[in-house]
Amino acid sequence: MRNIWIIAKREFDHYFISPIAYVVAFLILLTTGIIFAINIYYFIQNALQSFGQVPDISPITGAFGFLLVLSIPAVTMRTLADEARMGTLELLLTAPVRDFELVAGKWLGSFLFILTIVAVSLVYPIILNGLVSPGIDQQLVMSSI
Amino acid sequence: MIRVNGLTKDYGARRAIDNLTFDAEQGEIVGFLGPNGAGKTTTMRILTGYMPPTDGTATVAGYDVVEESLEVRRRVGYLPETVPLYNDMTALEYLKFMASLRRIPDTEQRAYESLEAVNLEDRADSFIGTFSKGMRQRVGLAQALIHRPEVLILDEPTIGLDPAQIVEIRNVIREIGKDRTVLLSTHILSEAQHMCDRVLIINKGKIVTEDTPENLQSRLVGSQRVVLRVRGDSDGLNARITKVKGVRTVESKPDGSVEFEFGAGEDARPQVAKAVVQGGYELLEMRPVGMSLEEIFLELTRETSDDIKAS
Repeated sequence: MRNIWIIAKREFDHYFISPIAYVVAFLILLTTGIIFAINIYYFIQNALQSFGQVPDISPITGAFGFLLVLSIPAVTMRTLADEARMGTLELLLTAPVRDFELVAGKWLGSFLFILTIVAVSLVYPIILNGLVSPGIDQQLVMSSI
Repeated sequence: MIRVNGLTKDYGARRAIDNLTFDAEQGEIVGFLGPNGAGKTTTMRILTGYMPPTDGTATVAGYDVVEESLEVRRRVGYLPETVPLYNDMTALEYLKFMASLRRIPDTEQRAYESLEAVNLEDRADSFIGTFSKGMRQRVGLAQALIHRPEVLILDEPTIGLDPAQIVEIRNVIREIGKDRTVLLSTHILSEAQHMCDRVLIINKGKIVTEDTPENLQSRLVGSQRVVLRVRGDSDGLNARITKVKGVRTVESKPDGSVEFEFGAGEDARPQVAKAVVQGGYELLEMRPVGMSLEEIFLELTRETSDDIKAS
């Protein structure tokens, strides 16, 4: 189990020095940010006619889900392919590490990276919560995480 | 330490290694010598548990490479042909990562120790991406040494190093080879000559021959060649040397030296020296020209291809 964590940690650290991960994180957060801003603007414009409609985070979560479908392959496609290209796969496969520990470690590292992007996007519900009285639907936020 | 028995590996229809059998004992440096594509890397990959053989068995430190792969990997230090490095890590980070994968206590201390062994301690905090080829090779070697393995398998360890570094690395490997087993591959023959206790010559997946570098040389050399140099003119020297008993051929070289050959059993050098001095020449140099391992190697690998054609 320790090996999984060691590999996951190296994978996770690696994301924060590779440009593609930043590009992906930037695009996801930019797109959701634009959607969020337009959404708030729309609600403010229509506040008077909106007949009790309350803004929630569903437009963001919808977009987020779609973006993840595109970005997860972009982020994870290189995890093993890059190792093979660099020759380091030979190193990992001849180290005293089981194959499943290697795969699980790689998966865990990528998962934690995506989780980090999701954690950053939590800023939207927090802002929204401050704008709306008496607060937004917290259950929807929890379930969308 | 390493026991290989009837090892065979097929890549599809192509047989990369064919019924390979050899041993390597503790405290022995064994050189794997062969042209490109002879099966050196394939054999090493099987021994390190990277891929299974098609047929045959191999044990390292008493553990089967297929059945007890993890035990084997714990005891083997491996430097693959393409040095496996992460360019985005510093040398120290990389070695600490490898040390932790190998469950070494006190990773930082050990990482420093192996960096010192390859003379890179002053570059511990530099990124591997900025390293020269020789430095990368040395970090790779440090990685193979970090867990103080019983068996060290090195695929072309001195490739890309400058002459000074080659000497350094040879010393490191020889030091390790005193009490552990080292299997290294190379296609540079002088390297095998300098480092190895025993040489296995492999060609087209088969072991052609196996012996100490010295024995190989004397076994294959039926006659001894000697270069002789005198001060001034060497006119008439050939005739004098030809008369000496045992001398088979004499040849004048364009640079003024004379090369002569005699049978391996009959050392004609004292007589030749006497004849030269008596003839009034000032003898400056007399040096044997051994048949180099290069020539032996070409000889042997050519023989096997002839055998194959004949059969």
